[in-house]
Amino acid sequence: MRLLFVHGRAQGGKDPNALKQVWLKSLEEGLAIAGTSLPTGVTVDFPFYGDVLDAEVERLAAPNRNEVSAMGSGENDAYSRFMVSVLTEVQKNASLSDAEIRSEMDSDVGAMGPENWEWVQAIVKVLDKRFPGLTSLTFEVFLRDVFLYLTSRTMRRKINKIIEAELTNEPTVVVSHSLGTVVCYDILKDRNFQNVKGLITLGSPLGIKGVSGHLGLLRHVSPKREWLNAYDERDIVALNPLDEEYFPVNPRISNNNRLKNKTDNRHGIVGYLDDPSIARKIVEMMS
Amino acid sequence: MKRRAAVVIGVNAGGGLTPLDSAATTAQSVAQWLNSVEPGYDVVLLNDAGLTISGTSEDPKAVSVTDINKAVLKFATSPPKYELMLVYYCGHGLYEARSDVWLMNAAPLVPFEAVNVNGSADLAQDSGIPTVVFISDACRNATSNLSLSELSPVNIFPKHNDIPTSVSKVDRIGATAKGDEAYEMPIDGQKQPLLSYALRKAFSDPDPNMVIEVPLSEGVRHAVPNRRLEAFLQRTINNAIDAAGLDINQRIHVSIPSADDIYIAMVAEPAASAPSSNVKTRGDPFGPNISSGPPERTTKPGTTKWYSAGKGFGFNVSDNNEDIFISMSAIGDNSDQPWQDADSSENLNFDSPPDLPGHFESECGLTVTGARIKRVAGKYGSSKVTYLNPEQTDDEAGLIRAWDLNHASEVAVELADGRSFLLPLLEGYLGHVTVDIRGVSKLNYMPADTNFRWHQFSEKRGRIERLRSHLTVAIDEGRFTVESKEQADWLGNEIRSGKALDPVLGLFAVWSYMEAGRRDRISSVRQYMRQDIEADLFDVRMLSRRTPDAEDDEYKLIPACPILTQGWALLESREQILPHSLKEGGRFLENSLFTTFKAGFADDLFEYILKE
Repeated sequence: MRLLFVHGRAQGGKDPNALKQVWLKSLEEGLAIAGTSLPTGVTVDFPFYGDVLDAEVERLAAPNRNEVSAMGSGENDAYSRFMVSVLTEVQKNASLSDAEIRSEMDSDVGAMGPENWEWVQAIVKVLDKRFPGLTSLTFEVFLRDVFLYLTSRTMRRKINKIIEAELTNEPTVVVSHSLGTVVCYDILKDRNFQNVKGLITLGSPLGIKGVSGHLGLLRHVSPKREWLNAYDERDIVALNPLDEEYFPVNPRISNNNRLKNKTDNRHGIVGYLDDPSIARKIVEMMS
Repeated sequence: MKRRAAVVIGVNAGGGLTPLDSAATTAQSVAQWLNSVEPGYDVVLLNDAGLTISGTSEDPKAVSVTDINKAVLKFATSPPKYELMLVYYCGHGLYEARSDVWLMNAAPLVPFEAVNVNGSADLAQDSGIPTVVFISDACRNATSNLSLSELSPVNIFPKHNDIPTSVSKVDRIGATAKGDEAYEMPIDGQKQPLLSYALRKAFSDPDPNMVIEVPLSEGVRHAVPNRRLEAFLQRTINNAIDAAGLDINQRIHVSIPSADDIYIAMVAEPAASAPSSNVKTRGDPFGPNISSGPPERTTKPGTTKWYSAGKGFGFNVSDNNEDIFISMSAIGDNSDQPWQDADSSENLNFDSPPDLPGHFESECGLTVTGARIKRVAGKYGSSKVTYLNPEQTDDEAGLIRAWDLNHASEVAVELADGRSFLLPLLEGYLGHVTVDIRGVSKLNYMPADTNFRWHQFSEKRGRIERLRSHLTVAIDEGRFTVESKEQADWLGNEIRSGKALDPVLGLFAVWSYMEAGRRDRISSVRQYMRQDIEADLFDVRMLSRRTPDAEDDEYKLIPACPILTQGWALLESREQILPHSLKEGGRFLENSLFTTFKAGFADDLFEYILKE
């Protein structure tokens, strides 16, 4: 039996072995609280695509924070639409009032076009204030990387190849985080990896409509495979549950929104893997 | 929740026209059928059965556009929930200015109680639902009782900004060709609309060679793919008309860009004999009524061979890997004629009149054949335009010379009969306009014979003119479809002449790609045209994206409204805003292929060109 960890973004330049130990340490904390342990003989693998992601982002000359404003004016209208879509969804979900957002706008003069980029930027500013530990830079850059993964076939192919290589004949439970959940879904939805015994997505952006809209008609990765989606409701990345409204698939995905992530931005993996319910579920899927 | 959804609409008393007998009950029957077939459908039925007074929105039994919007929105969600969505309409339809309209009960009393079918199908391409099928069992003609100018047709599909564009294929099955009527008549003792009758029969009693095998976990089932419906539907309709001894004609119109294995429903019983395994091409590549097979494929690699059959035409395209036969415009009463080598055919009608000037001193201008010109004007501050022969007789072409375009501009022309049009002026090109009783029926842009493009153009002139001539007919008749990557590749290559691209062929190409859901190709054509004419034709920019692009500011947009009349139906779905003076233009459209305004709009047009 194998346990496969699939990490998210912002891991480039780090030591994969050290990262793997961080994940394992958190999981062991959760296992200890749950009073259980991994079955004997379990191997743990940590495919690492952090450097490839960074290289691809650089290759695609992706916009940085400053460039995002310019892109909003239409230089990359697909990216602009994506950002507008996600951030307006965030506004709705986080109950950010129009007045609150308007107060963050630099000018009283608002364009009346369909995409008022200043409005979108103001949403980001409100998010800065509303969510302690979440910098707008992090969320914007996160969305940028997700967007590029969704829209660049080359990036997708390169990253997917790294993960797919780890999907061997051995029975495997996949635990993925953040952008890694999108990568795992993209791989598993099209190929019937019989030996994947379960999928756990943590802090997943798959419920964001702007993200799922790029994934075609949604489907369960396999009706016979258990899929647990778990998150902290304060995690802005995990904006929505993977339920009938936001991720309509059959059979339905199990959602657990009761996690309390201890990290500053409520999104870090160590704040998810140390939860005893997650540790327990991993053990259950392996048995 | 099922994996398929359907909005089924039946309106007997729409548009203030004579009430139909069977639209509402047929819709009910179709809804019941969809509820019972496999794979199952989630169905919303909207019909006006039991309506007591026509032409009202107050009767609770009336069907309104709001009802339809709500029903569509229930199924066309973001993210999408369904693999296929069917929108069925049975009732009165209107086809005017190359736009299909469905008429609800309160129309035209309430102008927006009408559905813009083309605009809705356009938006459905971005619904994210892999396949959307529009079935329209309605007339497609104009009526003296109702005009498009009395209506403000509404799009019924939502715009989901979080779904990337052009991910859905939209199949369309229409009861009749443009300009024609669809009929309801007694069949099997019951009055039924012909298309709906034939459609049901296709799934209850299909020809064995129509069905494909659908492997399911519980065993193999059979289905009729959309691509194999056309010939059967047409034949069934013809047989029903013949059996009734009626002297009427109803030619269906089908466009199926979805894949070969997409189907509306499985058949009730397995077919009597083994299904055909050939799903390579649509059921009848030559349209519903041409019985002869494709010509023998003897084309040499890398060449194109032309064939014609009555009003239809086709060509063999051959590369090193595969011979492809593409047929178009295969309708008309000569459709039983066999395919013949068209290179020697006398039927071909090339566009460029031989006695027109090859250039003006300015290397740019427009000639107008078929009508006398009353006045012309170039865009204010953008070009100098001169009408060279104001003494023009009925038999002569009007000659318009243009200077100082700065790559491209536009010209407004009012004809002596009051009709008018707005067309591009392109530096280095002479535009040739042909006007007939419908309006501007032909348009081509040829490099001036003193221009640097002339040499390359002249080498391919025969091919380009032949292709343009054929495409004009095919697109005019709505019979041109790009069905495969190979066809898309071929078209893309053929419309180019060296580094230049024939502007009108580019225009036709983007419309064809749009209908086939190949927007990547549209962007490619736009880039190619920008390199040549350094401007965007209105239709090309409109079809290449829904929202403005920063690069757009670098290129002029010419003209300021759609060049093809059919573009007017997409202005809302494509979020296009016209200059103030042109906004009412949609109410003055002739039924011509190229935008031509009826008498009464010329002052607005010249207001735009001279002042805005």
